[in-house]
Amino acid sequence: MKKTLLVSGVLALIAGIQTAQAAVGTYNITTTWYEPDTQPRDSIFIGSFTFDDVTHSVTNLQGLLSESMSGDQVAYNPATGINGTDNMNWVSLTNQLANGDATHTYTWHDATLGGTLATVFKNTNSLTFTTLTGGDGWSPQAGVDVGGVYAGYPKKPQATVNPQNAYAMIFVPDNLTAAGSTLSWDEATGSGSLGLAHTAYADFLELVGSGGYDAGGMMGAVGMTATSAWVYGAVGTMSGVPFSQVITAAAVVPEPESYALMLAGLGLLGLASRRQRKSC
Amino acid sequence: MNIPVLSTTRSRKLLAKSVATLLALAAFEASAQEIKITDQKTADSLQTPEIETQPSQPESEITNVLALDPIDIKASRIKDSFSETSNLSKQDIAAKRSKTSDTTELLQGVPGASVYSAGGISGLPVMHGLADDRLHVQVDGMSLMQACPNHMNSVLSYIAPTSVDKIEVSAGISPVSLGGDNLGGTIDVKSKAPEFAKDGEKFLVKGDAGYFHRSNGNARGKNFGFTLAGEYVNLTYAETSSESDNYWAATGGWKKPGAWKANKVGVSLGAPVVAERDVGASEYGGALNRDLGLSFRFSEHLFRINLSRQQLDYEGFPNQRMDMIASIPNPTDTDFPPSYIVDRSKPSNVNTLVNFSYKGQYDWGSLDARVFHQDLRHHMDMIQERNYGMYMPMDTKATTVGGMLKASIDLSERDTLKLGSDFQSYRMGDWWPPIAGGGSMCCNDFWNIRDGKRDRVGLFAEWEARWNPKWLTIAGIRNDVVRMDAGPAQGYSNSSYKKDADIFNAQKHLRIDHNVDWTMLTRYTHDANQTYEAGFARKTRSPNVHERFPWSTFAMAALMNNFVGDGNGYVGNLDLKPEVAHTFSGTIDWHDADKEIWGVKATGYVTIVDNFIDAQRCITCGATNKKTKNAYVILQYINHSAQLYGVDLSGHRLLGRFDDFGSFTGNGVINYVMGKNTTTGDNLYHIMPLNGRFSLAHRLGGWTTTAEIQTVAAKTHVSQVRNEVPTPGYSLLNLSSSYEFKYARLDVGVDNVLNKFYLLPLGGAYVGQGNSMTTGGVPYGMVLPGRGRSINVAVNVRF
Ligand SMILES: [Cu+2]
Repeated sequence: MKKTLLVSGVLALIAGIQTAQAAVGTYNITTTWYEPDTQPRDSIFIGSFTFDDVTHSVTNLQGLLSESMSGDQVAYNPATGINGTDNMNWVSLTNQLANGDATHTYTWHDATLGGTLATVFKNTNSLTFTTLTGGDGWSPQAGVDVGGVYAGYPKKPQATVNPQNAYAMIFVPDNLTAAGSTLSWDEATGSGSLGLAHTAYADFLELVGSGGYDAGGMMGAVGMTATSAWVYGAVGTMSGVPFSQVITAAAVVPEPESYALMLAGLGLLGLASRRQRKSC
Repeated sequence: MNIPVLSTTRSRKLLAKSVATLLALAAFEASAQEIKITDQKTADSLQTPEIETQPSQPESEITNVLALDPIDIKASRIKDSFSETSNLSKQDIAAKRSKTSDTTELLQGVPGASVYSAGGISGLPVMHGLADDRLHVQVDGMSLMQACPNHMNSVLSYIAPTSVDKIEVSAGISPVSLGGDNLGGTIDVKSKAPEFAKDGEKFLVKGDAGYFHRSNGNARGKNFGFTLAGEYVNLTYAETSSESDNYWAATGGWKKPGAWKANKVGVSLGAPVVAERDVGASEYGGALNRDLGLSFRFSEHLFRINLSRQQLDYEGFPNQRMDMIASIPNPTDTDFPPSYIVDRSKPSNVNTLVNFSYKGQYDWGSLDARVFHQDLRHHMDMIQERNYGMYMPMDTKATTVGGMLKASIDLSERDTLKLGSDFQSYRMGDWWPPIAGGGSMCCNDFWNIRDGKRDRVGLFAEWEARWNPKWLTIAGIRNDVVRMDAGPAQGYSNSSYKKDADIFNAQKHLRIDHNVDWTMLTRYTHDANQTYEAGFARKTRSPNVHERFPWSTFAMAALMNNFVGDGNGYVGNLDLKPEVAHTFSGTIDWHDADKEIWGVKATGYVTIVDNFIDAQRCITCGATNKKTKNAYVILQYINHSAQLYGVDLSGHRLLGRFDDFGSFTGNGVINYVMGKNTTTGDNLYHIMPLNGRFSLAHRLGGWTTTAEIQTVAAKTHVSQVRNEVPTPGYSLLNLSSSYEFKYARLDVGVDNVLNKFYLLPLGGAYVGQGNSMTTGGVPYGMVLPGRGRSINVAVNVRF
């Protein structure tokens, strides 16, 4: 009897958790773009999002993006967290903009890649790259096509014309579970997660005459970016390329019926343990 | 990528055959004395009627000119006495001028010589595998300096090919009196020696003017010069200008695909679109060389003062990440630091020289003295076809004061003693102004080298003895003290650059090297047909300022420091020791008595270098940088050991001489060199693979027509630490024809007649398009291709 109770309790709990996964969850994400020219510092997006694994929708995406050109030659240390050992500048990206027309779709599901690409901006609009020769002004491909030149170019002074936008585009695989997801990409051989290979960032911040670090703009009109040459035809402006991405479950937000089942399971487990103790 | 070139095996076979032919010819000529004498007689009898119709020497040489023969002969006695010296005469040079506007390229075809590609007029010379600063390169006796972290100011760019009268190449075992601070010998490029009116003549008035055009790259230029001379005074002026668009390879398809080229039609922000076969950033414009010389002669004394200036508006460097081009703060910009704009019509490079020399003949011998001053201003940024929105102004400034005093004392009929001293005082700065919006380039001047100093004083003694008509020896010793220093380093900002700058600034920068060189040379003249030479030398070179002082390991800064065109970035090393080379060299020279009918020459050499300045991967630049085999990397200079050896073979043979059809002469040159880093077992960088040139020349009256085959084996021995890229072998056919008479010379030629595609073994990495400021912006693995077919025309008139 007590054995039956214990087993059924565990089963109900597992079922409850599984049902909870087939729902909306909040996740933490760390996406790293390798920066060969600023080693040991990389461009890293650390943030969170909400994911519905039925609709594959990615919402509430926000986080911080490191500026690998800033700070001392010290790497970001996950154990100590942001500015734990590193002293890079981190840009806050809070605007996951709503999709507009075809060229202003910032979050979309790609069946071929088996996942969702989602973009979060610093500004409340997407304008990042120059549109002097056409292009949508923000997509990684548009950035590659204009050599990473700022929006507003060639007007001066740059400080006023450049909207100083920044963004991170991440990839959430369809098969994301509470166990999380770890993806990697090897730009040298073109192997790894093709979804991750589609990720990109751009950073056009500048602090004119600050005397301190000022990591966004790179050389005159060119900002910092990372892209894979296998996908977009060129690597980032400082040779940045997609490298790795780790997604972990932050907190599960199960739906009501899953809650009930889970509670029932917990109840049964509690009963079983009580009986166990009694029998001793 | 399908490269239509001669297969390696085929070119190897061709070379092997040619070597065999040359050797067979040599053996035949040397052993069969009897036959040879008959041969010569036959040749002589054929020759006699021809002599009058032989192309007259250029008019300038046979005018009533009193050249300073006594002084010249005496002064250059030692140099002339060694056949290891390859003299490129006026005639050799004239034939090559129509092919190139780069003085360094005139060395192509000299046994043992090759050229590192750079900008259109700035190739770097190589002798026996030793290049650039490992050679002592002089222009009109001046030991000039470069200032740029990319060695864009090749010393030979300070003189235009049209002004070159004579080139003396003394490879390897050069006498110590020719200079120290080198491993591989001396290249002395000379403009025309002053002429004076002959006794009884009032005046000598001469002039010349020329124009050339080469179809590949639409290269064109003109030159003009005149001489006014009396019996004691000579005034000479020469001016040369040239320009070229990007040159092109025979075909496209050698560039990696992708958007990195940043030149899609309609998307390139107005930057010129570079065609697939075109070599981006290989154009140059506004190149202008001017030289004004004033000479005085009083009996046995010659005083000469030359004022010259080389300037250039822009010059692209397809194997460097920067170009010579002027950029200025945008005048409408209110930002600080300002944004920059490129100005193609403003000189980006101005080199000014004042050269004062004295040469005098005395009872006891001769005296040579020289003082010169060099002032160099140099600015770099990016030619806009690389990346329209990217700027990186870089400035260098250098002054050099140098000179020498040399006495040649005739101790006896047998012995001559040369005593002397030379010095060079070099001051330079290499800084990069900050620009607006530049995260990595804000907000201070970046000082790559601040207050750089390199002073050298040399002392030498050399004894030449002519023991008897057969034996001649030279023994010399010299000491050079090289003192180098630099001020504090400074990055654009105190962030990314601070750590490296702090490390550099905490160290002592002053370095003093005491270098000792010696040379022993001997020549044995067996008879009129055979000469043998052997030499042994110790040569020392102190590091240059850009090997010792650049301090930043930040990739973008390191990529700016590179003078070998391999696409990598370099970091200096304060603790470098001078390179010390021991060279043994031997030469066999077999020829007919007058050196007219036939000749074969072979030189073999071995050079062992201690503290050879090679490179290692930067240790603090990430794990990938340490191990990658297919990317551009960051390197640091380091002392290793190295060994080089090789053979030069050259030969010529008069094949026939006919009254009505003129004469036919066959010529051949074969070069072989190997270079190893004996510390790591790696190959040395940019070692020219086995190569040869074989030509057949026909001369009739003033006409000379030449067909030349140039064949080069595949380069398979590559430097792994630098990720050097192998190149396939190839063969080219060149045709040229010239007609010369008293008042003019006309050159017409076709280079690469069959329009073969080939990669230059010493071309280096192609980074002339796209974002060159970063290690991966331009895909790794492309090599600079050679020129496709070019039709060359040059006209020169004399009056
Ligand atoms: Cu330069």
